[in-house]
Amino acid sequence: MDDMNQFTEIFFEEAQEHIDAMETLLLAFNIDEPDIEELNSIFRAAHSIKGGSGTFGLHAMTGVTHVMENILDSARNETLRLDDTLITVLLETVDVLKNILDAYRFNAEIDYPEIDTAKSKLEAELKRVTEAQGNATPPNDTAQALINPYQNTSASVAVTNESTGEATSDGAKEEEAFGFFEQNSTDDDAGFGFFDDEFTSEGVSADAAPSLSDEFQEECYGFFDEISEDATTNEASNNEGTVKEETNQDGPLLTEELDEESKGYGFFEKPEERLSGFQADSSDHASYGFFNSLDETDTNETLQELNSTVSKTPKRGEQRSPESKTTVGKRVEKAKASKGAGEATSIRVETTKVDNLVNLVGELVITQSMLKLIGNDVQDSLLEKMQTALVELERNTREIQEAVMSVRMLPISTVFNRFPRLVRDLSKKLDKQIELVIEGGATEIDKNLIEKISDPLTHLIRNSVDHGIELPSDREEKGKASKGTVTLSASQKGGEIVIEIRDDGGGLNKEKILQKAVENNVTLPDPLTDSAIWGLIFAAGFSTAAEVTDVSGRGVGMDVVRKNIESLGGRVDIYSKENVGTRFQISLPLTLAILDGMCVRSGEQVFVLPLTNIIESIQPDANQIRVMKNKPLLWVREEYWPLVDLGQVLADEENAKDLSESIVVLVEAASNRFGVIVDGLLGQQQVVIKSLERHYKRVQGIAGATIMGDGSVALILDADSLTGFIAQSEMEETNYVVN
Amino acid sequence: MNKNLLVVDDSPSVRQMVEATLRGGGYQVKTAKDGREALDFCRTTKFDFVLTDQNMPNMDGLTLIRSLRAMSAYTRVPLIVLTTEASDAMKAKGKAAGATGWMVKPFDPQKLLEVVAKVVR
Repeated sequence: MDDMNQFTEIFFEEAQEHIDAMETLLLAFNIDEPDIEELNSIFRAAHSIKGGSGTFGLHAMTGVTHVMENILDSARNETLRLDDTLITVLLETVDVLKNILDAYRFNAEIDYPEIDTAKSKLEAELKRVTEAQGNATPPNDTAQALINPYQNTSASVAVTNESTGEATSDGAKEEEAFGFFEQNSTDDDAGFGFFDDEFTSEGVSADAAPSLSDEFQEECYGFFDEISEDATTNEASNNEGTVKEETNQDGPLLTEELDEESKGYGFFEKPEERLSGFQADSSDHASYGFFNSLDETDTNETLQELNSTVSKTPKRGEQRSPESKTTVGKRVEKAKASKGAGEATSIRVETTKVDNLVNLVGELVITQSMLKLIGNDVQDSLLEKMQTALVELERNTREIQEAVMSVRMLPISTVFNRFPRLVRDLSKKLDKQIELVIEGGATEIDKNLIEKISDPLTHLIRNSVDHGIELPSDREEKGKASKGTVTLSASQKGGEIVIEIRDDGGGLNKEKILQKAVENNVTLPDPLTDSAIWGLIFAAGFSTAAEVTDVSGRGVGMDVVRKNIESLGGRVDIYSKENVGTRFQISLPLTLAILDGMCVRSGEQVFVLPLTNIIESIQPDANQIRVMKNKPLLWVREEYWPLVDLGQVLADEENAKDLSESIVVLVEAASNRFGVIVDGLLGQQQVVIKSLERHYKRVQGIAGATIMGDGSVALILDADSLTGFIAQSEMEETNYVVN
Repeated sequence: MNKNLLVVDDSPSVRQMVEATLRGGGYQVKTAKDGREALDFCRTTKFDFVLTDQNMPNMDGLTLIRSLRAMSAYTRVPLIVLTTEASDAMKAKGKAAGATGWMVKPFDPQKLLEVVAKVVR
């Protein structure tokens, strides 16, 4: 078919989803308390890939998934327990599936040896587990045997073949695997005769058969099917196992059947017979009525019951119809509702288009603030109308901006979901027992950030697993649980996304870090506070692992980690305590483009302070100002605040501002709080961040620049790097005073 | 002519392929993503043929068939199970549930049309 490609494309995406789902579920799988619903989901995923790949002729996948499916089917039927090794092998198989999928997708060479290895490994595992769990017969066989206790040997050979997973012959096998349950003769009596033979020969209620064929031929069609199910299935399985022999024995009867079989489908009943049978008989409803009650009832009883119910049937039909009418009405509504909710609601858009949209919105925000400025000069008669319209415009602009931004936001779980596998593989390799706990996966983060944060996170997690968590024996010695925990969490705090990697391992070792730093000629910070020492591990060429492992590499990473994060406008903080654990905290700006700011004036210059940093703005009283070592401090909220005079540090003003004449904006940065001295507050405004580095160079205290409504350029302050203007000694003294 | 067919499969690719194949055969086709959705559709529309996958979330194919057979409108409608499991156990279950027949996946589009032509009239 010409348009087959289009479906194959859909299948690729679908298979990718199934593969991801399998991986996630397998990773989360609890060996001790298997969740049947989860097993069902994993099974369905394998099953769907198998079905789809077969349909689309991607046979390399079909074979592997077939074996997986067998294992998973046994597991979900509780005839086989998944153990850790089996999960590992299944995960490896999932990797192989990924490779095959990619190969098909990008028309690459398919690695058949790899597939064969994976397949035989799975088969070997299945065999091992089956034997270990004292299950001599493969589970499929067991199920089969329950239904067909008297099947002949040739049939069981066929079944065994299938369950041992002869995946290569699988396609061919399935082509044959069907049969007819009813004789194909158009002669009804002959058809029943066939069933009768089955009944008597297989020992199913011999009494039932004659009465059936004598009295209830037509209306009992479906009914016959029901009760003779086991017998006919035997017949069918015999047919499958020994198609040729059967054909010889039954001659003409099975010839047509064979025809059908080569077509790859079968009917349980000849359709036209069924139709004619029902059409001819007014009481056909009776037969369905019995479908339900049959299971529990003995054949003979059912026959008698059928006899009496046939006469009751019309009554029953009457009762039924009004009921079904009312439900139909309800269902219509329900169907409509579910349709609305169920339809696919997402589309794929190129990221460049979205980025372009974000830029345009940025321009719109600037235009809007221009208009707002002009609005102030409008003449009286128009002023009120103009102002209303401008307020409206401002609101709409903000909403557009939020909407456009939200397009670019993705849940951070898209990155986090890669890590369970990483941690599992690493801990196996290192013989450690580690549990990865993920929190806040739903936290949304700008798509551009997601791509860039992935590598640093990978590195930090490797680090925690390799260097942080101790070996189980060491942990027990220290009185900790032998299983270590690495927690990966994300949350939104104000305008920032905070990502944390916590481990409950040994913590950072001060002496080792210092020793290493000296060995590697890393300049030691002064003074040597804890956080300053931890910061050393971000220095280039630093690794504290006793020996270099292939997990964490050669210590080329940590400085890159910090560089990457800082290039995103974020920062990393380390907290560590010996034998309690280490916590890496990454703070990232929520979005990269637009921020809510407070415009402040210092002399002739306008600066923008991010709103998220601002605690409050005050006009200090003379009695709030203290002087220590000739530096002014502010006493507010039962606390001493160091002060940064914007005019002096950034605007080249000669004289320090007169504090009692100025306004102090109290600001909270990541590591400390301080006051910013300004001449005035101009108002709150959204600004579009333009990079200063790209056009000029990095300046301490400045995060970027923006264009104001009147076309002038204003600098955006960076609270964190403003703290650099406060002398370290001053910081400590304020702490001292507070204490 | 213009027969109304219902295709039930949780896999969008298979579903769309079957749908396109059957449309190509001149049938009207509606699709459902699982047994529950299919059952809802069947309660409001009478289809002339239902082709259903077996393994699906929410409601599997056999349960769907059992439920349909219990509805007066569907006692005679051909119901075919589409399954990768061509095992006897599966067939026995299909038969017990009241399916008209089964078809193994993977299948050839032509074969599908053949089967449908056989049962839909």
